[in-house]
Formats: sequence, structure tokens, C-alpha cells
Amino acid sequence: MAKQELLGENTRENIYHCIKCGLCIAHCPVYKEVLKEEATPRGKVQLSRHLSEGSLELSEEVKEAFFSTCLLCGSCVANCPSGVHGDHLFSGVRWRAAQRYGIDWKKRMMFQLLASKWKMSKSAFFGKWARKVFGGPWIEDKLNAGALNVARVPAFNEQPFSDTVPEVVRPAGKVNARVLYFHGCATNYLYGAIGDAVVDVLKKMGVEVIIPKEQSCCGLPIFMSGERETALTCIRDNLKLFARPDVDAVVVDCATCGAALKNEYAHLLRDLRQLGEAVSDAEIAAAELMAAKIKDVTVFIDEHKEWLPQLKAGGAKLRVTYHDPCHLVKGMKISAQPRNVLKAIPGVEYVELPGANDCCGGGGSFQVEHAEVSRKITKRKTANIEATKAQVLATCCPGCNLTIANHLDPAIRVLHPVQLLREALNG
Amino acid sequence: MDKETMIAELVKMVGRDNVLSSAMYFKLYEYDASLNRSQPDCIVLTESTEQVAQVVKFAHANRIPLIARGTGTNLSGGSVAVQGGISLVLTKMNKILDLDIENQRVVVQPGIITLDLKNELAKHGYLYQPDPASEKVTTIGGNFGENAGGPHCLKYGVTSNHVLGAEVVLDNGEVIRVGGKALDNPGFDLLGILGASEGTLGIVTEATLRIVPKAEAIKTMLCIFDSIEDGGNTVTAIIGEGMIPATLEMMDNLTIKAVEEAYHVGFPLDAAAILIVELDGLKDGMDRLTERILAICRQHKVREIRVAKDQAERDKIWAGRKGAFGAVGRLRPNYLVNDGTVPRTRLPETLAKVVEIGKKYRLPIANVFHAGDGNLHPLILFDERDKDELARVHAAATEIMEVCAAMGGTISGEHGIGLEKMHGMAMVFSEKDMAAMRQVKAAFDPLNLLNPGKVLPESEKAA
Ligand SMILES: Cc1cc2nc3c(=O)[nH]c(=O)nc-3n(C[C@H](O)[C@H](O)[C@H](O)COP(=O)(O)OP(=O)(O)OC[C@H]3O[C@@H](n4cnc5c(N)ncnc54)[C@H](O)[C@@H]3O)c2cc1C
Ligand code: SF4
Ligand code: SF4
Repeated sequence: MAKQELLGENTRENIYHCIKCGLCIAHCPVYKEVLKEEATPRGKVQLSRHLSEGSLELSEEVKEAFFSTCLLCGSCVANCPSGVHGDHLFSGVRWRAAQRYGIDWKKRMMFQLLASKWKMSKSAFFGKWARKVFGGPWIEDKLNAGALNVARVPAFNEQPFSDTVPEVVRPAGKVNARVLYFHGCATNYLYGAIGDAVVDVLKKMGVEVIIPKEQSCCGLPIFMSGERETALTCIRDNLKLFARPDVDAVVVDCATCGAALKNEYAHLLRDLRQLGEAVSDAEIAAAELMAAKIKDVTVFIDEHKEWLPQLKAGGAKLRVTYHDPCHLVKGMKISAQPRNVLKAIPGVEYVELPGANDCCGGGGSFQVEHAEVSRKITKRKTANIEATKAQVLATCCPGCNLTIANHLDPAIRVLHPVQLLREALNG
Repeated sequence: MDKETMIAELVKMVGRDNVLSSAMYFKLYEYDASLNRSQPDCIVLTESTEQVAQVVKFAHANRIPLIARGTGTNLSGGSVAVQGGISLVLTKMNKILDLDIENQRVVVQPGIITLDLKNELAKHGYLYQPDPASEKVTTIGGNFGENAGGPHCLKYGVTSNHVLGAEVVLDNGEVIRVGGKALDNPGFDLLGILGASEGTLGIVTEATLRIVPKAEAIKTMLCIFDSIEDGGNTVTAIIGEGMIPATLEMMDNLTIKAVEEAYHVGFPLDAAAILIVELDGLKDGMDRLTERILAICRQHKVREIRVAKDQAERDKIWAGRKGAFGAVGRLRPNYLVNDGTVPRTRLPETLAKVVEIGKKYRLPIANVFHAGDGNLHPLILFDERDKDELARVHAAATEIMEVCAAMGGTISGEHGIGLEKMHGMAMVFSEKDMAAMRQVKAAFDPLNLLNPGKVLPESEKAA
């Protein structure tokens, strides 16, 4: 049997640019808790090298290291002076590990559901049904939900968000721009209010919003867990809907989806092609076209703030702080714009959060499977937030929202900046 | 002793979680930031002095080599287990034991991260001076082990100048104390011997450090030059006029380019050299001192001077400097750094030689240096997959060491000897000098179990 390459060529080159300086270690939230080398980005880059060169077996223990001591938060990538893309290596190894060892059936089930949108949206009582499907071991049983307190996981939307909005929303007067709106799974199934806010605010800015009904999961959570084949289905579905030359932007309300659509699609398609998957040039071109148009919704709003209706100063000020989602600040290098949006709201008294760009510790399913480490990381975050005495924590990622809100003083509201903006616009 | 028994015994001492031995772990602890790799037979993490003492005693009784390890960022092969044995990892011993502000001392465990300590001290308005560029990840134990330096060591001295006391586990597991909170201690200065000993004489399990109040004012200047000579002469002139700034750091064009790509600091890509001058001290007189320095720069044809306006601008400049080593990894996959030191006045001459060596061996060399100390850091860039290139790199590195020695300098300013520079020891020490050092080693570690095969080359007539 021909030797199967572990990693695509683009990805593989990274292992040779790691000079083992260790500077990334300072930025890894998991290492701070574990204090062993497998938790360091450096360690996992070195393991990737051995795996790729065939000098180390992809054992259960190695698999565990890649899954249980990494949040794929991208902090190491953002802070590697040598430009090593650890995230590409680690997710590549996870993929191979998943191929060898399979992945947990609950996860597989969830991913397939996320991927095949129809199964979800066609289900009339989605909320109840999903609770039943994921119930027992995953959601209902507190013991098995890892670091998440099940009682505090928000209820599912009554209906998926996409079923509650028309496919095209036109503003009343002059049309300033036309955008596609990619709402992630979280908005669709958990945080419908974020979706409502995005549509409402954009409409008030004179923007025509197209919300393709058949949009799928961005694929990143699936991809991070090593299920690349399923992720590929998502990518292809989304490219068909979102790689359109005739729109001004593709806005995203979730940092994780945004980072996936902007940074990962083209890279991943190339990687998969090198590894033998049939991927066409047209698909890669489509991924690049879409990537160029992807904008976090706060970035879009900040760039066109002159379109916003006049905001009236309200009564008592609301004290607000902001958490930088890893996939936004490290993945897309965005930190100023969400803050600008918040500061532009007259009723907001903005306070900066110490360690604002430290990871929240969630990492998708990481918090469920590796509760102890996750909980410690989240604790640092919530302690910092509570110390600011803010009434609202704003953040641009529903994933961070879920994790932080689960551990935070319930008196502090956790919202997307656009939700606050909507409140201000509607008085 | 067979491996199974060894592991079983160690588990009894430190617990199952703290004994690592599998193919994966051997790969994870086989390296440091140098090019050397060699696997330990077992990795042990300790959480207290008692545990360290037990493990060391066990290793001694069974004649097993033992290598102390912090974060493993040294650049000389210092924490690589060349003869196998136990890799003793101290990262879990990371507590501050006694913060004694009144007496300006802090007592810490060796695994504490240098910058974590500094951040804690900053809350009290205090500072621990040594600032290796890698401080955000290195441990105090590793800093003491290598006697680490950094930009601010020009004015404040290297790590050993700030370590006033230590608790040390000797080769046989006995625990001793050397020095203490006082500035001067009677008897032999064992602390002086332990600094820079690279884990070959004992394991430090606690360190008492000097701390100082933060400076009232800081001024950071970025001086841009069109030639390296002008930069070098500026350094000589500043010190010649009797001024000792907190730092005098220089970078050459190749480094500037790499740093700019990685950090976007705003360094001009066409500059031949930049010099980072930082002044610290009292507010009074700071402006006058700044003026004098600027005047000297102008006399030496500085192209442009930027004075950092606030902490954010200062941080940016330093992020660029501190990330310089890593950033050159963008140019070629690997680098080998030499950290030879020459008398400051001979810096320009030495640099010219380094350039020649680069040409001779067809290797790009990027330069970053603690110019004030005459401490060079030529970074020889290469790809270790190219074996012919690798051979040229080692030859070039050796030649650079020879040049430093010939200039009246030495082969390492701060990164230690470890494995990488052992063959250079004979360039700066006579056989008699080294014999004296071997006697010290024999007194501390007669069985040669503590980090064996490092620092001191075997004597000509090997024992
Ligand atoms: C990007 C980069 C920049 C750097 N910049 C600088 C710089 O500016 N200045 C500088 O001086 N160095 C610098 N270094 C080198 C390195 O960071 C230092 O040598 C540092 O002190 C090593 O600390 P560590 O915790 O990583 O120790 P390790 O590398 O793990 O160990 C270093 C040595 O100390 C010994 N040791 C560790 N702990 C103990 C202990 N508790 N008791 C006894 N012995 C012990 C080890 O056996 C080993 O010999 C740099 C390295 C990198 C990668
Ligand atoms: S990944 Fe980057 S920062 Fe981390 S050790 Fe390697 S080169 Fe250094
Ligand atoms: S992606 Fe995040 S958690 Fe994973 S190694 Fe890098 S810094 Fe650590």
C-alpha cells in the first residue's frame, strides 16, 4: 500500500519553520493549566513533525494530546514570530486521528445534523426534538455536560431563525448596499435574537439583506474535530450560496464562522486536493471570491456608520465591556471595530476588560469533553469581567457567549454588540 | 535497574501523573531551542523540594543521570538529555513563596515564569530587572542556570547579580541553602559558582531575588541609521561620554526586515541598522540626558530618531526586539545563534568579520546585538534538511567563536555553553583553567550524574 501522506504540502512546510523557540507557550491557555509539554503549541508542532515523518505512531495517547490539550483557539498562530500555522497542523492531525479511531457517536450525530440542514429545519418542534436527541448523556445529564451547567444552557429557538425571516429583507427607502447574511448554527438554533438584531440594524442602515434559506454549518466545529469529509459537504453547500460576485459583502455574526469562511476554505480545499480529493479550480476560485467579501457584521457597520440613523442619548448609562473572541482577534485580526460600535452608542459607558483577548476556554466541544481545564480557563475570564463591574459583556461570538454566560454572574447580561445597537436604535 | 522498576519507584515519590514515559513523551522532552535532540529515559515533574530531593537521591543511588529542565528554551542544548536518564521538569514549582517588599526581596520556586513574576511585582510597583527576550516563557531556574542576560543588563547586570540566595538539592539528595536575603554572606560564595552552572552542580529549588521599585520615568528612542558603523560608533560615543543607558540594542537590516514582517512595528525596511536606546531613572534630568544622546546620534549621521510617546509605543518597539529571534524563522526554517562577546570598541570590526564569514560559507547572517555589552547575536540562517548547508553552518559558527576569542572577547555572553559551544571552551580557557573547573564539578557531583556531558569538554587524557 502506498504510504498515505499525513498532511498536505502547504500545511507540512509549517513543521520545518518551527524553531522551537517556545514563545507561543506564553499565549496558550491550555498550557497555563496543564504545565506539560504536550499542552504547548511547540510540543504539538514537534509531534506533528514526527507523525508526518513517520517517526512516531499516531497512538491513542497522541490522539488524546491533540484533542484534549488544544482549543484550536489560534493564539499560538497569532503569536508565532516565525509564522507557523499550528492550527492547520493540529486540525490535520485530528482528521487523521478521527479516520483511525473514529469519533464519538454523539459528536458524529451532531455534526451530521449540522451538515444536513434539512434534517433540522424540517423538524417541526426542533427544540424539543433536539433536546431529546442530545438528551440523556449530552445535554440533560449534568454530570456529562462537562464544564457546562446544563440548566444555564439557553433554550433552543422555538423555530430555527432562518424560518422566521424572509429570504430577502429590503430597507424602506434608498438602498445603500446589498449583502448576504451568513448566520451561524448558533444564531439559527440558539440565539435567534442576534439574528433579529443583525437584520433589523442593517435594514435601518438602508442595507438589503439576503438570507439564503439553505445555508449550512460553516463546517469549522466539524473540521476541528477531525471530520473533514463532513466538513467538505458544508463547504461545498455554502460556496454555492455565498460565492456571489453581485453583492457588496457577506456579513457574519459569529467569529468562528467568519474565520472559517475567510481563512480556511481555500486553504482546506487546496490541502484536500493535494491529498487526492477531487477539488476543482472553480471551487477554489469561488472560495477566494467569497473570502474577499466576508466581513464581521461589526466591521461592516463600523465602515458605514454614516448610514446609521441618529442615536439619541438615553437616561442612565449602561456599563459595558467587551471580550475578544479568539477567532475574531487572532483569526481575523479584528479588535477595534466592535469596540467602535459599542463606544458609538450614546447610552454606553465603555470599560476595557483586562485580558480582553484571553481565550474563554470553551473551544466548542472541548468544554464538554475536557471540563477541568476548560473550567479553569473560563474562571479567569469571568473573574476579570466581574471585576470591571460591567452590566453587559458584549462579544461577537455565540460560542464565547455560551461559555461565558454559563459561568458568569447571572446579573451580567451577555450580548452581541449588534443587540445593544438595536436596543439603542429602537429607543 | 530496569525501566519498569525505575518507573514504579518514581511513581511512589511523585504520583502517576507526574511520571511520563512513552514514545510520545520522549519526543516531547528531547529538545530545547537549540538544534540538539536526545531522548531521556523518563520524565518526572516535581511539586516540592522534598520530591526533588527524593528523586535526586534515588537517581544517585542508582547511578541514573538527571537533567533539570525549565521551559526548555535555552539555545545551547542545556536541557537535552544527551546520556538519557531522568528529565526533571520544574514547571509545576511555580509559586511565589515570600514577597518581602520592605526588604526588596522575593523568594520564588524555580519554575515560575519570569514575566509572570514581573507582572505580579508590577502590581506593587516593583520590578525584577533581568529581561531575557524570552522572559514571557522562561523560568527563573533556567535563567539562573544559564545566567541569562537581556537588554537591560547593560545597566543592571545579568541574572546572577539579582539572585541573592538559593535552596539547592545536591547530587546525593541533600538540601542546602546558600546566600540569603542579605547582600553579603560569609564563607565561600557558592552562589557565584552555581550561577550559569547549567544544572551540572545541583538543582535549585528556591531562589531569593532582589527587586527594586519601578523607575519614575522611562524614555525609549528608536534611532535609525544608514550604516552599521555609524550605529556602532554612536554606542561607543554614548558610553564614552560616561552615560550608561538602560539599554543599547542594535539590529541589522536583515533582522529589521524579518521583524517588520512579523510585528509591523514600523521599522523602515531600508535602514542599515536601528539602535534602541532606553533611559530610565528619575524624572529630573531625563530630558537633558535625552538631548545629549540625541546630539550624539546626530553627530553620527543618524537618519531619523523616534521617541516613543507612551507605554503602547514602547511596548511595540520592544515586542519587535524581543521577537527578533523568532522572526528570522520566517526567512529560513532554522537558525543557529552565537552569542559571543567582544570589547565594545571592537564591535564594528568584529561585525565586518562576521559578514566575511557569512560570504565565505554562503550563509545569510542576521545580526541583533546587545551593543552596549559588546554582545553579538549573529543568527546564521539555514534549512537543517540540507545537510551540506548544516555542515557549513557549524563551521561558520566555530569560526565566529574564534573571531570573538581573538578580539579579546569570549564565546558566550549569556546563552551558556551546553553542548553547542563545548568545543569552543578551549578557545578561551587553558587546559589548566578547565582542570580547575573540573575539580569544582567533581566536588559537587563526583559521580557525574547531574546534566552529564555539558559545559566542560572531557579532558585530553580522559579519566
Ligand atoms: C527567542 C529566544 C530568545 C532568547 N533571548 C535570550 C536573551 O535575551 N538572553 C538570554 O540570556 N537568553 C535568551 N534566550 C535563551 C533562554 O531563553 C535562556 O537561556 C533561559 O534562561 C532558559 O530558561 P528555561 O526556563 O527555558 O530553561 P531550560 O532551557 O529548560 O534550562 C536551561 C539550563 O538551566 C538548567 N536548569 C533549569 N532549571 C534549573 C534548576 N531549577 N536548577 C538548576 N538548573 C536548572 C537546565 O539544566 C539547563 O542547563 C532566548 C531563547 C529564545 C528561544
Ligand atoms: S510554533 Fe512558533 S512560537 Fe512556537 S516554538 Fe515554533 S516557532 Fe516558536
Ligand atoms: S490553538 Fe490555542 S489551545 Fe491550541 S495549542 Fe494553540 S494556543 Fe494552545
